[in-house]
Amino acid sequence: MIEGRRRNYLFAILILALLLFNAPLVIVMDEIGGGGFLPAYLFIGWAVVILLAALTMQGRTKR
Amino acid sequence: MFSPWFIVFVSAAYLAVLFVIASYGDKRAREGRQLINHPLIYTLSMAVYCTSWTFYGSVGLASQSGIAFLPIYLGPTLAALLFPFVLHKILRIAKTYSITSIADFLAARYGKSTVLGGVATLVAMIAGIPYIALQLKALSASADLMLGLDNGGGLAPFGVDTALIIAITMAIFSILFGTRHIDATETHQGMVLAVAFESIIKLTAFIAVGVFVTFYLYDGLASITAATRAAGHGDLLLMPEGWQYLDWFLMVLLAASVIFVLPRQFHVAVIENVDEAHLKTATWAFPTYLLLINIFVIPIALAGRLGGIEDSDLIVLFLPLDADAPWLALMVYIGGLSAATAMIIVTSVALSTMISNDLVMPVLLRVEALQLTRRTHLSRLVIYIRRASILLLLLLAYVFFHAIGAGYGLVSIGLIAFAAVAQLVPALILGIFWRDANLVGALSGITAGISVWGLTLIVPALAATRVVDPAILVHGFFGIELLRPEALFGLSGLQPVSHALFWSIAANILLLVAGSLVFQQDNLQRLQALLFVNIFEREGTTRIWRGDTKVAELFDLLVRFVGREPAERVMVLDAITRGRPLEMAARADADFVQLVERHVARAIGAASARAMVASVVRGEVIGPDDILEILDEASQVIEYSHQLEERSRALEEAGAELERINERLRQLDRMKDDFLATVSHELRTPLTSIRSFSEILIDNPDLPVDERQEFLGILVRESERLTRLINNVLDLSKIESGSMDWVVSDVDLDEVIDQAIGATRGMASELSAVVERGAKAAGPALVRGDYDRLVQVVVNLLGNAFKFTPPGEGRVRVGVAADGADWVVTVDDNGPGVGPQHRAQIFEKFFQANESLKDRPKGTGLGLAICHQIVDHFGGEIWVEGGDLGGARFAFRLPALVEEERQAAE
Repeated sequence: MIEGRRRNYLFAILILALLLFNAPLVIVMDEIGGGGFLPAYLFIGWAVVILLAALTMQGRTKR
Repeated sequence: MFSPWFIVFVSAAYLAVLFVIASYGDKRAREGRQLINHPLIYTLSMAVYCTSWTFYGSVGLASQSGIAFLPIYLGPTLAALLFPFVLHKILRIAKTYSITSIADFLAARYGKSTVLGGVATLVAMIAGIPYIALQLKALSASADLMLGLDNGGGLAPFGVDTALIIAITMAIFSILFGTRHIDATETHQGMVLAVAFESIIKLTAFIAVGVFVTFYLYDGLASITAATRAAGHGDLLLMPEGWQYLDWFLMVLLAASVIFVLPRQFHVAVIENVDEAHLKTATWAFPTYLLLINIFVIPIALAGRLGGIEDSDLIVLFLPLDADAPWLALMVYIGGLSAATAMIIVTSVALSTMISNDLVMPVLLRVEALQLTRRTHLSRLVIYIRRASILLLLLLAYVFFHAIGAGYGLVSIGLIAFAAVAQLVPALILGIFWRDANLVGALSGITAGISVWGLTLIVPALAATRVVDPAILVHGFFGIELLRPEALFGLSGLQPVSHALFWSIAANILLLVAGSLVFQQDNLQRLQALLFVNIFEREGTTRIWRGDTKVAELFDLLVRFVGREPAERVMVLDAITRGRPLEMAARADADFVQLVERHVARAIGAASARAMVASVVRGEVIGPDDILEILDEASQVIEYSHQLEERSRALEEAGAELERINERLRQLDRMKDDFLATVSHELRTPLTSIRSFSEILIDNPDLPVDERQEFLGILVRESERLTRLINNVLDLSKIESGSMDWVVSDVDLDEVIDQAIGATRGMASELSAVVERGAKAAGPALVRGDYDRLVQVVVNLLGNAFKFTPPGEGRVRVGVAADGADWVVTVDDNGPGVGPQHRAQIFEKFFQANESLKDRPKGTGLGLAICHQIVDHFGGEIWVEGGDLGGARFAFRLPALVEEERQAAE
């Protein structure tokens, strides 16, 4: 379905997403600046992951 | 506010619009134009994931526990990143083997097992009924609110419960949508189109109310969060109270995994998929949809909390109503209606397919009394079973809603359903990646998983409603404290759902793996496992058929399950692929049998289809055993050919080696021939002169004495030369063949030189050459060697030197000197020397650097060759270079005998 390079990128994004959406990063963000930052962090991280995935899947194949 | 009748009218109108869209989609599909063949439509149909749970429930949960709703959407985002790896494989398998549902998929993977298909269907039903109940609850609550009835579901104007009316309406609607045609095998393109349309409606409605709340009721996000903090609800922006990070992780994992097994997700993502390439877009577009529909959840929830709305699950609807925006409220209501109807329609179609294919039909086909295998028009029966199942599902959901669901929030019900359906995940994922996963493992894993789920989630729920003695929560099962339903084995502090998920999935995976490792697969299982796991490697399977079933018989079977018209279509398609139509009286070949089995499978599932086709097919059926055998044979052949290849490679190598040896032998043979020719030539010269002088002596008996003396002298010299030559040849051949008897001892090279000089004194004086003794060693110059042979070497070198020195003025100098760990003996002369071009060849047999000489030298041409061989034998080296006396210097080195070695040797 997708060739080697994209597969690798997608895997890397998956790992990134796993790190972004789970402890310990979530703990850090939960307590940062006295709290209240967590929802914003999650949504921004989410958008970044989607953006990277979209670029990976829709981008032209590099030669 | 609107009049109740208006609300009823709008609802009915909305459903009518959906129906029109679906009919249009179906119509175009029949005309061959697939409207759903677009990646965005595919993605939007996947958004059937977002139900009333998302539309009403997320906000409800967020108003109580903040971001606790988010893992349910972050999980699928992670799962979407795996689509090209996991879902793609599932898709390919499902398409290749005409899979009709998740239960059918599992049944087919584990040896077309009807039992597993049935169990998976039951699990899906156990999960599906509360899930549908959740939709009914949201629908009836929102309808009640819009109709102006008392919140909590009073009696509708018709004198009946709203939820019941909705349940029945939904049942009829789903039946019309999903099981309209008698033909049970067609995909539901119209339905997919309608679902995609609904995804747009619910997203638009939700974003509309989100914008309204955030920017009309408040001045943007900042003002809402500020107001929330001011009101003391700042904790809603933190990790939910009572949640551990493990809860968070497990919830993400739960949502990520169920995306592959939820019956409705499996249906839209796998069964209704028309092009695999759509997955590429869905990988990012589906998470985008999830992100968009969740952006305003927190603002709306906070606004609801600040507004003091008590029924948190209806905040989305209450906010516009309280703000006196009835049209927006109506839009929200329609959005909620679309979220719920999409879920109910797709779920009930998917579940009813599973119930008919994997639960009812296998049983009916086995009941002999019904003689179903002989009945015609089975497709009609299949459709009726599906319609009845849909009605049953909706009614069961209604009962659940009243019995248990009323006391639970939307999300809580949904999560219980998630945890149940998650029990199918290990069998699915391991099933497509691990060949050895087997039926025993899958069955025991799923059974154990769903049992633990029941004990840890349903028992507490029943205890809460006093159906079960609540004491069990405190004292545990059988009075064992370790077995408390909500803190199994003492694991406490987790949320109930994550607690249940952890234990149930642990038990599930453990048994799946253990069962697969301990028990053997039968051949059909092995074959199916092979086909599923290696779907990308094995594009076309081995098709061999030796049966003598007529095409007509299989065609009849097809007609009974799919109807005459679709069956004829199959025949036409088959004719197109073949390039010629099949004769009805002809024997069916393997392709046709598989084609029929695939189409029957689309109507009644893989397991039943196999049984049905097998009941028709006579003669020698190629069963899985045979196919495996054939595969084995094929692999054996491959193995053999590998071995042959290796052997031929080895032979080639051996051949090349032989060739090399042969070449060497030929070279040696040539050398031997040359040697013989040269030796013969060298022998002939003295023999010729001996013979001719002997003849002269015989023919002239009266020769003068002087002359006679001279001739006899020549005869003697030539005889000596002959003897020398023969001795040399014998020596050389002895050394070369290794049969020389060496007498090895410690030899002092000084002695050797003295002895050699002594031995050649006669020759030296004859040629009037002077021999000088050159450098001498301080002590004995000891080497290991054969004394006589080494003397022979020096004698040869001296003789050689004498021969080349100018007559009367010859000077030869012999010396020995240490050079590193060696002794070097040198023989210098004042002859013409050896040109550098000859220095390498001079030690070869019969080589004579005679071009610089006027006369033929007197030697045999073997002396230096013998020297070379002897020095070589004792590990030394011999060479020639320019010497001090203006002529050549012949030198050889031998390893010096060290004192310790000498003692050791003694």
